Amino acid sequence: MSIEEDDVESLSREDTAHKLPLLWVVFYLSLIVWGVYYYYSYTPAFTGWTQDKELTESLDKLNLN
Amino acid sequence: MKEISIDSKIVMGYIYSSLFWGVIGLLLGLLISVQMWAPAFNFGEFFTFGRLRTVHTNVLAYGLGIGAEMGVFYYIITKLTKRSLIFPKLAIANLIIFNIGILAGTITLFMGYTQSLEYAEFEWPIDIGVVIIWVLFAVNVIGTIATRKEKHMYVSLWYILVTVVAVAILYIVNNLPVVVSLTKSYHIFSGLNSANVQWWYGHNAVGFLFTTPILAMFYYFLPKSTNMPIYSHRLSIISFWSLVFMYLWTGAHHLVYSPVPDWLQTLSIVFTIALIAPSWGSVVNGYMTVQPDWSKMNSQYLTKFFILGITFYGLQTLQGPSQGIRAISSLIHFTDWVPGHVHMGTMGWVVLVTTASMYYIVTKIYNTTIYSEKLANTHFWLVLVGQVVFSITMWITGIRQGAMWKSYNDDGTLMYTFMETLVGNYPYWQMRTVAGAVFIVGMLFFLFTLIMTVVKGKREQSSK
Repeated sequence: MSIEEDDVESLSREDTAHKLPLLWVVFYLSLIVWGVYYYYSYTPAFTGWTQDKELTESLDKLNLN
Repeated sequence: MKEISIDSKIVMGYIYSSLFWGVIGLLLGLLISVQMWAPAFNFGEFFTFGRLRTVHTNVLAYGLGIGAEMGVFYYIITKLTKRSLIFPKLAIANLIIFNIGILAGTITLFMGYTQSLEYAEFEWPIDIGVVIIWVLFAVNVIGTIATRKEKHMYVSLWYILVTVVAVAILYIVNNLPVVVSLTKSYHIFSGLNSANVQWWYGHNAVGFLFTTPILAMFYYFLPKSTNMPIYSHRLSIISFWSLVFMYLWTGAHHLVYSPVPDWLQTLSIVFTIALIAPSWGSVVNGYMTVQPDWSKMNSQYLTKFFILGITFYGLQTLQGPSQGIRAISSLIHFTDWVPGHVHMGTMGWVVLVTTASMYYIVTKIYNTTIYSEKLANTHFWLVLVGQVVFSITMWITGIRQGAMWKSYNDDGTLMYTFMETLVGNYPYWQMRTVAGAVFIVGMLFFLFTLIMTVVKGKREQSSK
């Protein structure tokens, strides 16, 4: 029995095949920019931020002593 | 009567197997949800929560999930490569080994043999079986695609290929054992490295068992069932490579506020958040595909499965990344929010898209129409309502739990005992059981409709 063949071309639209929605591209690029900023800000080697320091400071604020 | 092709028989074999394991996994899920609020429902040694929770996740992930994916992949591949499977006999042998493997894995978990690594609980002899099953599958998939008669690689084939490759790497690396005996082994990595490799595996198991394979189905069956071509090939391919590149960095977001180095946690959070873009690339592509004619949601019964499915995928890929952020993680980690999150992905996205794909396949293989659209719609609504209620109850109680854990008195002591925070779960856990029961009734409607469609197709063939 022969297999039923798909017309693979018909699965994708031709007129918009190469389009990228502008909002999506802007969103994607801004996530990359944010990622660079965030990685810089929360890496001990760059800014001295550490999880441990943040915890200690937040406990100090509570003034439990 | 016209016989269905050998490839079709193979596809149906995997589908039937996955449905069998699915029923077991779902019923056990319902039982363990009851055990959470009614301890009397723990029976003997084998049917206690500690054993059954592991059986539930593994049977559904590997029995239902992988079984369905193998069957549906074989179907998609033969269509997109315009050829029959390269090794049909191997696929049949693999089907048998697959069922023996899942059976053996299930029994050993019942008996309490576990590596104690989440989603990688199978002990090492079972792992060897899993790897054999996967390699045989990979040989057939890659062999058929490599000798394809259609030059163009549609995006679904890319998603299938990455599933095959990534799962192999993830599974083998995280299951490298130090063998003590036939039934006991330990992770070859120790301490922090063990945790890090485990969650690199654990998170990407979700990525490459519940994301990429389902996207392969989505991209193929959405245009096929609606007759509306995918909006943008370029968007689908850019999303594909971005998703694959980013996913593998994200595992450490499961270890926020742990001794994992700060830089590594931060890096995984960055990739986790950035992952929203390629995930939503597929969401946007799906919406834009149906955009020229939204009435298809009404007129073509499968459209709503795919569109609601991709919507839950979109919500899942917003909620998931947000959970990686330190502030949010510190509120919801270890609470019941997390099962709420997981079940939106599995019961919403994975189940809606997979069951719709199976409806489509069965009607094509048996050259017939669905047994009853009304029943299929009933299946849709019950599954949808069950899933939404399940997820929302868990989110509410998760936030409640997390907030109570974080509450201090003025003198710095905890405001609530652990017991108080736990007891508050009970009404939500009970609601979850009701929601789960609704979901399972929906799945029984699916099972009935699917089987009756096969029966109808066979009857029509024989009367010709």
